[in-house]
Amino acid sequence: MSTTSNGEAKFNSRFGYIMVAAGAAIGLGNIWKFPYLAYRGGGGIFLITYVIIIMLMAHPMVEMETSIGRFGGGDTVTCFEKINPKWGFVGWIANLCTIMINMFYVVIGGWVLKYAVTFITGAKFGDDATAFYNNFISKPVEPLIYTAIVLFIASGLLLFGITELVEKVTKVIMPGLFILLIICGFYACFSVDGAIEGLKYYLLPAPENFSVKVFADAATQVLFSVGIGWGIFTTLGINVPKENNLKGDALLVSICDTCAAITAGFVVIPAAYGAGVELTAGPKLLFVVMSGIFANLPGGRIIGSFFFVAVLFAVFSSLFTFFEIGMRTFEVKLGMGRKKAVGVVTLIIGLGNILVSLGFGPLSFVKLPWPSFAGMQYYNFLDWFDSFTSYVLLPLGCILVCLFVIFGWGWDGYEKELFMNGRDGKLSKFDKALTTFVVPAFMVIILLNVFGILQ
Amino acid sequence: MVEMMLAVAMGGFIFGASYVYNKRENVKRTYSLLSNPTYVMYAK
Repeated sequence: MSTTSNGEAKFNSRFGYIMVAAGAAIGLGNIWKFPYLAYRGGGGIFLITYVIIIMLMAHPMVEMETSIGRFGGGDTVTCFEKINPKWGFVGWIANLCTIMINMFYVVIGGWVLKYAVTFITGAKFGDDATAFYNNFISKPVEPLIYTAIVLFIASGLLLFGITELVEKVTKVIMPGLFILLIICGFYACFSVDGAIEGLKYYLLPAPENFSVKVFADAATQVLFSVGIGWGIFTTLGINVPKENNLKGDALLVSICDTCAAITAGFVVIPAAYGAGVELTAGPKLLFVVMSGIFANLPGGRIIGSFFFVAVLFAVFSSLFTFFEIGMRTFEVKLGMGRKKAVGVVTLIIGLGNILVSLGFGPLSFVKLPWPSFAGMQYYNFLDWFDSFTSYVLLPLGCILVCLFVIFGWGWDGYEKELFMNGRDGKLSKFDKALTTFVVPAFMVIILLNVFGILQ
Repeated sequence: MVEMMLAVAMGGFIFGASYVYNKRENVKRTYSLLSNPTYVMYAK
């Protein structure tokens, strides 16, 4: 990065921006969440639905959010207000969403840290990987300690502005992680009985498995995984120089993220299918399956250590951007100053982390209500926060960004910023149709599905 | 207990190494391509 004459920091190159954006986009969403949603959602049919949605929805949303950030500057709320003073509430919703996502994302990061040190110290998972996992997450104190380490390290690095080293290590380690995933995928396919059937389940779409629920899961996974609808690209866009072609960048970020998710599914799903893990395994899928694969792999302890340490670095690199959204808003918009903003955001997220972690143990009896036309449902803290953010706030954020571009900013203003006054092309009718009809329609389907109106 | 101590040590190492690395980099004031927006905003 460099600074311009007016002191603003800018990414030095297109490559620099894409790597940071991909760093934020590639994280637990791809490695942890995508495999279990794809496994539950019918494998191949989920995969093809996901790819179609990402082609239609990801790049226009990334383009819009980055343009808003690059034009607006400041923080997520200020970006919207600078363009149209009435629309600052969209930035506040993004902040609320990001903070709530961090309330469970950091806890999962703590689990990743636990598995990393367990592999390093001897990989003693016992005979039953599922029992080990359940025993660990239901403890009252231990998961909280790992969560606190992840929370305070990420916040501390942001407070002191010393995130560079972790990001550089992540840049080196991530290609290794994906090579490792591919090797593990092949190993699982040839060593686990039934894994080839699992690979078929993952790659060959079975139309009879399609449902509105599968569509809604795939669409919301695109939002969560790429990082759209919650201010990430608005925040990153603040530092993107005018020289960058935003349309090209948006496509590359979407492609990077999709490749990462598909690769993770290639390992986890065949192995899980072959091992007979139930389709509704949910959040535990990555931990149970990967520890099972590494337990049988030659040199599995070393490989498992590398895998979970690499994922941990991916978690940190994502958290830097996630935390920054709220911290920057509190610092700039509310005028708190850096230290106070970091402290307040860390405290709010930490309180949420305590609830989510204890929700698997001492507070497991607490269930939050979720209204639905199919009848009232009750979720634990993680599932409730996940559902409220992924299935309500993220779709709402996307709809509002589309409406903002159409009515709050106007096509002309948006086109000028996105294409730099015609330097990089112009807005096509197809682009406008995606923003006006396709993205909002997809989001409405998610909202109708999650409340049981459209099954 | 050993695992938790190792986790704390890993966290401390990441933080310490980042601090030392950044201090060295700050002298030169050269920003890497992967610099986080926060870092530069904070440094400026």
